[in-house]
Amino acid sequence: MFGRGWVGAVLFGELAVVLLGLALLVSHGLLSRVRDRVNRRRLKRGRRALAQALGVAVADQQPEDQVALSRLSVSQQTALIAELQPSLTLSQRRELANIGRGAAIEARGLRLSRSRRWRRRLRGARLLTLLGRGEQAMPALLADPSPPVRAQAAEWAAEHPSAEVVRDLVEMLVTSDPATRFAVKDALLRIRGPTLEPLIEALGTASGEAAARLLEVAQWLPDPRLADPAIRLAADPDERTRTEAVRLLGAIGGAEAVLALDKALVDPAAGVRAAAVEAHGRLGLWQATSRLAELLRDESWDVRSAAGRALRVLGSPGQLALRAMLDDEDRFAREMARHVLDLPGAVRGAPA
Amino acid sequence: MITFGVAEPIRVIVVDLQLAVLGYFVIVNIILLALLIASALELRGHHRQAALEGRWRLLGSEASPTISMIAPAYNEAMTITESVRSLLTLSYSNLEVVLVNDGSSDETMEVLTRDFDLVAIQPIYRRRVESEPVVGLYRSRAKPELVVVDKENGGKADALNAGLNVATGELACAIDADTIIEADSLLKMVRPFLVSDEIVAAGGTIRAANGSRVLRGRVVEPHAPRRFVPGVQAVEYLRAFLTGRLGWNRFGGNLIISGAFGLFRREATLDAGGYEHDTVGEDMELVARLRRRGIEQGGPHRVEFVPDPVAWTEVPDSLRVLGRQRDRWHRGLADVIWRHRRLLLNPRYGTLGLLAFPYFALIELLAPLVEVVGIITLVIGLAIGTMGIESVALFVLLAYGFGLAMTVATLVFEEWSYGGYGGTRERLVLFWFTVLEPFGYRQLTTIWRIRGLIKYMRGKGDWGVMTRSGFAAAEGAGEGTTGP
Repeated sequence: MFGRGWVGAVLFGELAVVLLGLALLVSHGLLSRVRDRVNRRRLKRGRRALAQALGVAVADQQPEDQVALSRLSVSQQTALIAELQPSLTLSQRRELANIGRGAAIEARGLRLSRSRRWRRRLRGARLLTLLGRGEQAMPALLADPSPPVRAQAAEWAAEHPSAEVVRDLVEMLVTSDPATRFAVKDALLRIRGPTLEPLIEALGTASGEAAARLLEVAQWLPDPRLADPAIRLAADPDERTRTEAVRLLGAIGGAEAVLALDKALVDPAAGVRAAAVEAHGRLGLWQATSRLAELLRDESWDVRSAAGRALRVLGSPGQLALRAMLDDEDRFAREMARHVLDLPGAVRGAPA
Repeated sequence: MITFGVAEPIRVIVVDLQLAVLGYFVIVNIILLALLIASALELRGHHRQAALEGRWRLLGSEASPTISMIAPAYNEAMTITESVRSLLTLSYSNLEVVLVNDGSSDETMEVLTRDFDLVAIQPIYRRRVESEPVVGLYRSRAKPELVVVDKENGGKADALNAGLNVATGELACAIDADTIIEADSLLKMVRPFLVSDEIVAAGGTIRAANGSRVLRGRVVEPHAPRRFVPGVQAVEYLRAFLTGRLGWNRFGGNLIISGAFGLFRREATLDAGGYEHDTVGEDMELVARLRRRGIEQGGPHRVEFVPDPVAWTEVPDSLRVLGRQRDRWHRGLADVIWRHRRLLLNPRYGTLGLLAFPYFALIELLAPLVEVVGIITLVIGLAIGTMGIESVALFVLLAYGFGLAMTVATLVFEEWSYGGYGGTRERLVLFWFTVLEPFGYRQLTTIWRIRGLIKYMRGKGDWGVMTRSGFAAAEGAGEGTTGP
């Protein structure tokens, strides 16, 4: 069916594949090596010049270092700044935008951030984050249709916490999609103080899943002003929201919080009860010892284990209650008490 | 040419078989080509996405999820200290290392206690998945993030289950104790979990460490293996990860996360029942179960392959050990396909049921059988005159050429993207193994896979013995490499 011509053609094709592959590998390797060799010295001088510009003492200083930055291309200086970024402060990075090709990098960042293509906007947002610039362009990108661009804008916002930007971030947390949730949460946790006011305001009206996300961040900023919305949300119909509200109350404390926490001990949801028990332990509420001991009989393992841990941290009253539970009629309560008291026979995992 | 006279029905059967094999060959190569193109697109997208990304920010983030590294160890007294130190120095802030001593009969526990100042603890944990009894739990006084679980021997899956029970992280990273993970791998691998709630597991690239210089639990000088058996496996690994799994990302159908390095949502893994004990393909089985459950119950169900987190492992350097490994892998594959056969062509499971699962069942599993049938029919066809020598030569050359082109493309991808084995010289070494691979090695793997399939059908489920020379031993010998 097929003649020798076909066989020859295929053989030729295979030889071509091998040679083409070899040519690609070797040429790319050689080009990379030559490029690296040419760039190495230039980049080394660029590094030294950048360090000098930032006032860092540099050993083995050379006069030609001064002009080294101007010899770097925009992408080379960008790569250098990216390399130094983790160890530079925001103001140092902003200084870098005034030397060498910094202005060109900023201009490129601004231009790309206005592109119609999301990948370009992302690149632009990253360049501006790198330099710590872009106050006029970046806030608008917090509402960009592309999640990666929004996430990058949130990363930028962590270092530029103006009142408006923080408000936007809190708003993003309420309406957030999974793709930007981490970046927004991370930004708010880095901003800390200025987050509080907008957070309190948002918690005043939020409910359900959105409130749960706000409460999650609020737990890192346990301010007494958060107590009122937390108490309200501890009665929210959504289980996760109640759990997060109880956790926040456990971080804040105070008489009103304790009342809400006591109510949460009898919540129908096991997660809420467990959080309330943990909060009691965290706040050292020894007056609730007997109620916590009762919860060693709870149907949920999470609640029982939380009760065991809470009693352990309550000191003498908790220890006494745990010892009393060693003879309890409930097998699970006995086992948990024994386990918490570190008695033998409980090493191999608590009963499920 | 001499041909044997045979009855017409036999000729018809032979010709039909030849056509079937040819059709199979065409379909397989179309799929592989599609995967190659998808991989190229994924690789480009990944590079663009990673450019200027501030991954280092994760290091100081309070919002980053806790990762529990779960490392089972069995009789690894010689290497355990280096392995654990290398895990403890990974670049990730919220890290917990759970080392599971799976009933070692050597001095693994004593070495750990001495080198990490272990003290017995009594944490309250819930045994949510079955494992052999835990004898003791310890925490390091020197490195509080290190927890050691001392348990009775039960195998790797059992040890991982014990680790899953004790771990506290939101994400669990299952590794082999002797896997060498690059310092920034977790920062890269965690990314899919940060941007999507649908991700249930993620895997990274595994490279062959044979031939590389390993020092204090880190690969300090990566080199391609110089010996044939590990060298040709290095090529296989590159092809499997860079053009196979990466390509499946685009089709939403990854079904394998390497047991040597995989990141999972711990809660979903526990809910699914953890690792299955009675299978030799526990890694793939878990991924198939997680994906299936996720789709059935509306939970996270996507599996992502991230190409740049790299883990190094020592691959078998003898044909005997390699044969046992491949035989076991194929038994594992057969077992997973059989257990989850309901997925096959089931539209309920989307691309998993309609694309990925049929690919693994009909191509990965059955390819060795079809290959043998193809060779036999070619020989018979030649003998009875249904095929001429030129047609046979053409078919063989096409099969060889396509495989060669695929692998050369993979090496070019590697050269352009990560260059994980070092300079271009290393890629040229791999290129040499690429050219040699189809001569003998490929036929051997076909035989091993068929042997695995036969064993599975006979009901043999043993693991076989996996012997390794060990990184630390090589260092101790002053050679500084894992190879000879």
